Amino acid sequence: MMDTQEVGFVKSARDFLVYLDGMPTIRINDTVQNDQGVRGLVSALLSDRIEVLLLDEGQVTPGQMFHRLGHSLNIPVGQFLLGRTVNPLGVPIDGKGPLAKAKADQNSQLDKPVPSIGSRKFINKQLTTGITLVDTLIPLGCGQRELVLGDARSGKTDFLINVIVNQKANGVICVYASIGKPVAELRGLLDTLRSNGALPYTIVVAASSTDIAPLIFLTPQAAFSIAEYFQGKGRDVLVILDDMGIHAKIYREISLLGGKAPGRESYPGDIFYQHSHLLERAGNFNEAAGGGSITALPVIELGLSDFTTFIPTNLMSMTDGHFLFRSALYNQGRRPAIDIPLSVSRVGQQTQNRIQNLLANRIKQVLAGAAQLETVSRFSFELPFETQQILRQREALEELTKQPPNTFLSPEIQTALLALPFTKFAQDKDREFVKNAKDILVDALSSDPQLSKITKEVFKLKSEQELIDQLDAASDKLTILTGKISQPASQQPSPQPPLPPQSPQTPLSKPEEEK
Amino acid sequence: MIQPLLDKILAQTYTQTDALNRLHALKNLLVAELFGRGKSSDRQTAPVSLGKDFYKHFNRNNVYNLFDTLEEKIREIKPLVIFLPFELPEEGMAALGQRMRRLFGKNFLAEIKLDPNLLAGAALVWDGVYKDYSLREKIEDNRERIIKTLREGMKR
Repeated sequence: MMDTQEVGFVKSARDFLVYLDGMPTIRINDTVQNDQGVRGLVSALLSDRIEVLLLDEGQVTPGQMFHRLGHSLNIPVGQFLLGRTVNPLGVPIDGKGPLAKAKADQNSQLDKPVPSIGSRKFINKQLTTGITLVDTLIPLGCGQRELVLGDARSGKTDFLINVIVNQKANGVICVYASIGKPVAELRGLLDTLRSNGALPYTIVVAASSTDIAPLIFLTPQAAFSIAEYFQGKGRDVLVILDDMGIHAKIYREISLLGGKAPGRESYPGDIFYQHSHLLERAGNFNEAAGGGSITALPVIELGLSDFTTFIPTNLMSMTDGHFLFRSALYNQGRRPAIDIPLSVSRVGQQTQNRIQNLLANRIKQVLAGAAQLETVSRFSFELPFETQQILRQREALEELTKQPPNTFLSPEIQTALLALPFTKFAQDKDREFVKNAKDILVDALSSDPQLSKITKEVFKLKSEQELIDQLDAASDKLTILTGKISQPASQQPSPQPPLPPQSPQTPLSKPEEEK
Repeated sequence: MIQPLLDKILAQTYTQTDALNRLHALKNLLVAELFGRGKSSDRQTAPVSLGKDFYKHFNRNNVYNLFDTLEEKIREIKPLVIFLPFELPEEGMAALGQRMRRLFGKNFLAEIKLDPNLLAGAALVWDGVYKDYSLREKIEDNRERIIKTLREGMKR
């Protein structure tokens, strides 16, 4: 039998960009390969040549022949990927040997069409991160897309690792896409996930900064393809894309090399489409589409805290909210260092329990009020009781929302904990007391018979005031449990000193009249 | 005017690479003559098959345009790419070229590439489609049968 296949010859080559002729029926996203095994992805069909992005390192010279592989770019998907680290082509890079593929497992295309509206359903289930600040004030829903943006060294990656580690009890599968990061950083991430027991339900798709640019560009697509496999089996999947700023820069590099006209900030005109059609693959899906959900957390690092530049604003417009991380808050010891007033979750509130929602609204009112009163408080010696109360509540809330890395608090304990600043127990307690008593309070809310009863039934209550009243009724118990924590005298809120008695005003002595 | 010039250049040139090389050599020669210091010594070694009339068509005003057009025309011709397991000598190339011109037209061009892995025979590429008529392909097609026959032979 004579072998017939379509071939093309290299007309020109520029780094990872190659132009071929021939291949009359080739399509975009088809794959080609030369005799040395160097693979390429067809990225554009021009009038007289084909633009191919090389996916493997290798020397390509004019005149070389590429033959068509007959399929579009795909990645093997299956249960065997859990706990493994692969590159965007599905090649394992974790040194644990080849993938244990079963016959029933399949290959999934990297660039798939976005699911239609008819295959989606309302987002009504919360993705519990185990982080008090997020779950209460800026909640995430399963199927939501929430942008994580912030300065360098503001704790974004630590936060994301924390979220992954806390999915252990939730049965959520995590897919972490490391896009163009240094190899050392990837190594550190894998070690952290392994030491926290998070690898069994996590898949890492990685292209390091030393890899060829088209491979880095394909990383988020590969991550979504893997996520869609598990979503099709009815599982909830969390996809983290770290980070999309590097992805945009790589796409800019590829486009400029290919001669595309540069637009704003030299990015190509279709950069918005590249990101939007990627993020649209996330969502909550109905039974006909396999059930399950894909929650996406794209990450972008800001330069000089400026989130009004092109790519961050693009991503903000195509996501359902954002977490804004500040390095200033990080340096103050806030973990996670999320700027609450400037962060938003547009979809998460509909997934929250009624009590959480009401409590979150109350907390936000306190934080907003405290922000307004803070300026006044700096200039007044004596503040009204109500003002002091609000400022004290704000301090208590800030301390209670701080959370060490890799700790998990259930939503019930979070809710009960954040209701404490509104109780009589916490009325006269300052920041230092709350900081020292926090661990005791968390422990008490989960294990003390009286308090744990309140915690377990917290979501059955009708309003947050009911919760506060129940905690008030248990304030004696709270006082006993935290009795050993005494506020140092120097740090106790000192009573206002009494005003000196007013002496009758004596007029200024007149100069002796000249005699 | 272009077609007669093209016909003359391709008269005894059967591959696209040779045609382009020949064109570039002619261009260098004529540019040196027209813009240099008179007739160069290379004129003596210039191909006489082109005839004396060939060079009359070129002057300082049209030499670059003409050669650019000629190069474009040559590149527009789709060559038949032939993979051979050996290097074809000049006489063989000429014979093959003349045979192809009789079959496919007077300005038909080929491109010969060397691929020793073919073992024998040839593989052809035309308009992006690759057809393998080599011995290697035949062996691959009959692989199982060959192995079976060899095993039976070894048992005896």
